[in-house]
Amino acid sequence: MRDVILAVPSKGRLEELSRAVFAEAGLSITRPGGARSYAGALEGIDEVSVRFMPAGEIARELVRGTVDLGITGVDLIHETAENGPESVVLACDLGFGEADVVVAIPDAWIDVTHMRDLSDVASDFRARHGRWLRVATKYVNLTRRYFAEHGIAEYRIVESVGATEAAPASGAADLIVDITSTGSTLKANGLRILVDGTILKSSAHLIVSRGSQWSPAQRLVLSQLLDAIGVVANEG
Amino acid sequence: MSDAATRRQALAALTDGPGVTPVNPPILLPANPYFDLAGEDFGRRLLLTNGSDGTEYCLRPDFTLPITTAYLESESAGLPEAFGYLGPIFRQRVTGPTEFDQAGLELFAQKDPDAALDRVLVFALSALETYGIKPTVRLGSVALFEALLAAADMPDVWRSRIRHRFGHPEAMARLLERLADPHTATAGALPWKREDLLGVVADQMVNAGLSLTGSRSPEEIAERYFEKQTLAAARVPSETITLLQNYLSVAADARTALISIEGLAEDQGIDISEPLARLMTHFETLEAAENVGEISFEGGFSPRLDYYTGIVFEMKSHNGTLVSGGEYDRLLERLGAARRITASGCSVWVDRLEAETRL
Repeated sequence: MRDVILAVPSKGRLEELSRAVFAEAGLSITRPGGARSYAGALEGIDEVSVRFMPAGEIARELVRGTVDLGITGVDLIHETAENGPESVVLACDLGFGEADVVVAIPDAWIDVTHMRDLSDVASDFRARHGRWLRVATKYVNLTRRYFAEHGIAEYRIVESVGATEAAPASGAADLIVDITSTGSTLKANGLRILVDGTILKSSAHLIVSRGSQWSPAQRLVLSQLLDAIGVVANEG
Repeated sequence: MSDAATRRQALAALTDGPGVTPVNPPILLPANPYFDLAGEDFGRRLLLTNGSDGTEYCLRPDFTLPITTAYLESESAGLPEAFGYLGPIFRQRVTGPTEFDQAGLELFAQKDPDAALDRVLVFALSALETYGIKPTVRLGSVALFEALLAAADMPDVWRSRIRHRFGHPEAMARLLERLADPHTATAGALPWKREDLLGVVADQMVNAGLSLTGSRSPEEIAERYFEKQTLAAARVPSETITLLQNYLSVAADARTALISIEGLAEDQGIDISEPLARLMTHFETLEAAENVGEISFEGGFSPRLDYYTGIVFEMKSHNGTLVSGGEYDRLLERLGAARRITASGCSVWVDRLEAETRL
């Protein structure tokens, strides 16, 4: 049997907190090659090999099915592919990395409090300004889906990989969809979250891939692992 | 020749018939016009690629846009033209990128728009007949809803907002519910004098480092803020809301549906007889055809794209939509025409027809 592959965030606070969750369950994640190594192991369950990767890559590989399970943010699963959420099972909320994906507008837009106001603004924006309303975000899929749900079609997405909150001031976009945990960065940039502008409440989860090949023996390892972390594995 | 090849040839002949110019636009097209016309929602369906200078291109996702653009740039722009097409288009599907064939007809600047629409309907039915399919037809009318909305008793400020949500059932239902249960405006701590409010907004914008001219201006924001206060106070009569809700929920065989809509309008003393009569004419054209199943009309049926203007339709089998089309008189203006040029047409999902005959 090949090992069950568990992907763990490769650095920073996410890595620390992931290790802590497993440590609490009596399992310790080892990284023999040190902080720059890619492969590790799980002391306590030999049949699991650990891969250290950036959180975004973990989401992508879970959706593709090239890793069996992993720790990453739910927002990244949504963003990796349109079929991301269907391709995985969220086994367990690990209680860290909490953040919301939100629609935020310049605070000065005193006439806009809800998505329905944004819908009105979008509908005649082009007639007024000769261009579409622009939304800066890295969450392209989530934005498209949420805006469609609210009947907003008249806008363009400006893809933004960093410092999205600066897009309205720099003139790159009119509003943003971004992730925030406390809202303080948004506030500091003169932005305000719409009353019904929370698209997704995200946090780090232990996530199981539906796409990878699960043999009966591997399922056994999976349920052993999930039991240890405190989840009843009822789905593969 | 195999049956499939014979059918295919018959379909090709329809797109190359008398008075129809067959066209074959490039497969590689600039992506921006699609985003401009149809927004992000359609944009997500494009197969995109980048030029080395960063320009975005897409594989042809439909025929209407390149055909319309080429027509507008040609010497015959504004003159009656009929174009036919048959060829591959490319779209993103949940299951991955897909290539499939579409056939269709585009009619521009026809002298008699009713004859044009009938020609489109007959083309669609002929295409289906080629494959031995007797479709059901689903009719809708943007013009009928617009006529009802224009005549319904309500403050003007609400009309454009309601119109904007036509074709989006959930957003429309939410708006009508909100109208039925209006909340009083929350005045808040903001000043009520226009100049004062402008000052407050401009200050906030400057403090946040926003350009006063690059995006929404303080004037626009203040204007809409006051409009919103007015809107909250501008009650839509409950009879009007009920009328709209009833209209949007009409879904029945076309004759029954049109009679009940006539009744709804009469009860409110609203005259929408002209668009109703138009619908009836085209319903009769369809009814007179041999290979046609049930013909229904739905009050709320409309594509989400705002360039559709008159009657819209879908022809379906139990496996899904096989043909969709209608009238889109606003399309050419949206693409830069200086005046309104009538347009109607339809596209046929050839792969679905072929799948249908294999069943």
